[in-house]
Amino acid sequence: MFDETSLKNMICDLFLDGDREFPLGADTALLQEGICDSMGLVRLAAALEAAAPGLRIDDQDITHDHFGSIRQMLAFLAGRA
Amino acid sequence: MTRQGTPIPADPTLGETLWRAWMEDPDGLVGVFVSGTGAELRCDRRRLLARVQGFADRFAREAEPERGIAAICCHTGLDQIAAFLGALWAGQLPTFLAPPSPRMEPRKYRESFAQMVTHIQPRWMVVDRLALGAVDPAALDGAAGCRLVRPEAVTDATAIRPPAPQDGAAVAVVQHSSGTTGLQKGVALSHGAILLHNRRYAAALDLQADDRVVSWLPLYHDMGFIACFLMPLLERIPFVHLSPFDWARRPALLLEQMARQGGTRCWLPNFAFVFMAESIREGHGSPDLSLSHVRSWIDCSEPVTAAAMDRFVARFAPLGVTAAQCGASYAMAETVFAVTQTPPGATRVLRVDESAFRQQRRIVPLDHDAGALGFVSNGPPLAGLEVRIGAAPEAAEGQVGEIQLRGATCFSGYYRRPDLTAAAFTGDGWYRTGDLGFLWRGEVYVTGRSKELLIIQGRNFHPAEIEARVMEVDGVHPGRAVAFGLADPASGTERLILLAESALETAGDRKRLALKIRAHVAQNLDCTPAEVHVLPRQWLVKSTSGKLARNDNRAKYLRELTGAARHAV
Repeated sequence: MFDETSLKNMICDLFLDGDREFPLGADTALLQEGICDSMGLVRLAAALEAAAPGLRIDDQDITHDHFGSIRQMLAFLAGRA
Repeated sequence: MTRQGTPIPADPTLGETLWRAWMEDPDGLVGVFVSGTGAELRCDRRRLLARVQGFADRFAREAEPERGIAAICCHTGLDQIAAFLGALWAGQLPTFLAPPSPRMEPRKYRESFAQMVTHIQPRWMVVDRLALGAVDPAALDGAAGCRLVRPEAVTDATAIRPPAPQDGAAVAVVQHSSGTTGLQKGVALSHGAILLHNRRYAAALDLQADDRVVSWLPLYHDMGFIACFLMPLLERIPFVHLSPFDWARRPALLLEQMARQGGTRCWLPNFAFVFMAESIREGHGSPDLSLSHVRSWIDCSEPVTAAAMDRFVARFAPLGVTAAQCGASYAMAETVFAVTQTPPGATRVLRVDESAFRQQRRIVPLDHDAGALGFVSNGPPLAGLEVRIGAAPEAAEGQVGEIQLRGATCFSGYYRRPDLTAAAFTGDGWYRTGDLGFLWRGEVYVTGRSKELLIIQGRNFHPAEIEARVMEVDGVHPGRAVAFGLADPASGTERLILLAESALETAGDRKRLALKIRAHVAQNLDCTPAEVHVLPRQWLVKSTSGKLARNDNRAKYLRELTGAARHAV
């Protein structure tokens, strides 16, 4: 459904002005590294749902533990597949 | 702490007014505190008063002839408001401070907090359990006469008493508009100004006895503090308070509580209209949620855009949200809160000739969209508040200039800053807002700002404080960083743009430095830059005096770093 590259591209498009060359790693902490704020995580969840018909992310699941980095998002999404 | 100018009429105090009102109906509901999971704590006046008196008794132990500041650093909940009112009851000066944000590095929060404490010299710091870890209690307690008060150690009083008598013209509270940074000014407000504002604002809103205010806004910000806390208390209408952190994580909480609690009034900064429209997804939440009973959604605290309200209405029309429910207000802490309020009904957008606006700073209304700019009306000024544009009182309608204000709801001064107070007023006693705008048919329109201030998601930042943080990052050339904001219609707020010079040569190195700058700004100021550009030496423009000129660099950025060229530098 999503891999590291597609998530990275989505984050770059949403928060980094479309700069897909940005040095964003799988473990870059999105909040602490100033990529987005907690409201950004909510927007990210909405973008994931829009990109994957059938995917449904409960509000309660939009936490730092699930969305704090690309690797955490991959683990969370894999658990839902 | 009094300013020369319009005398404030003799008034009772905030405490006396509340006491009288509450004694008439001591079992009435004050408010409901709702947690992120939806758990409710309902609080009636009797319960609140017992808690307020408990805090008042605690403060009375160290009361001195000269009133002291009680700084409240607590999260949303009963203790936050009881500590505030307890200080008022004890005849002291309460002020709310921002509790730590989960994202901010604790050490950085501690530093800026210590700076704030040095600046305002509180006699008491009320710090709740959640905030305690971030503020270094050992250093605070006893430092410069400051006492640490832990709400857990304050017991409810068994006997309640009326508040300590005070002069209604005296300063009642100090408001620190946002954040904990030492650059913030404390706005001193008198009992009389707050009570007068309350009467006039309630009249402008046509507030009803069955109204109910629902809010996630922080109480250290004027919109949360006045519109969603003091006004409901004084008007005896219940409020529902949610935590700003819970709302940011789950924006649907606000709409659910508006429906569940029968909320009729809601104040929001402009970006929140867009954020909720964008992030609350279809199919989530209760399908039978109805918002048709809402009387007003009031857009305030950053420039109001018609696009933001349109998106909100379009997205939530199926739940009963209409354009007629949406209003706007121009407000600031220096006038207690509201300067203007739109009357009930749809907001007005004035289409004006763009070239007359840009070249002659003059308003020429148009009846078509071609060559037009649209400005949203913020409504007429509240009764008793005078608004003029620029220093010339005869300035014609439709002339664009600085918005200046005068009236009895103006503040008493900046707390312990007579220098800043003097600079804020014109020689003939008008408050200089630093905002640009015009008057048209008796209504106020805001077009921009003359002061260098960024308003990002309703929070104020000075560019200098952001630039200072950028220059702390290793690799940024000393003294060579610029911060400015750009209005962004898509998000309904300003985007923070940072430009920094560095000797680094490869694109990869520069982008890694940009990442470091992002992290440093996020962890120090709890603010997310929209763009960070690391640039070669000598890229930034200096003024003739050798300073980095923000406007010139903003113009150069717009010419050279937007569009296709932006990732190439």
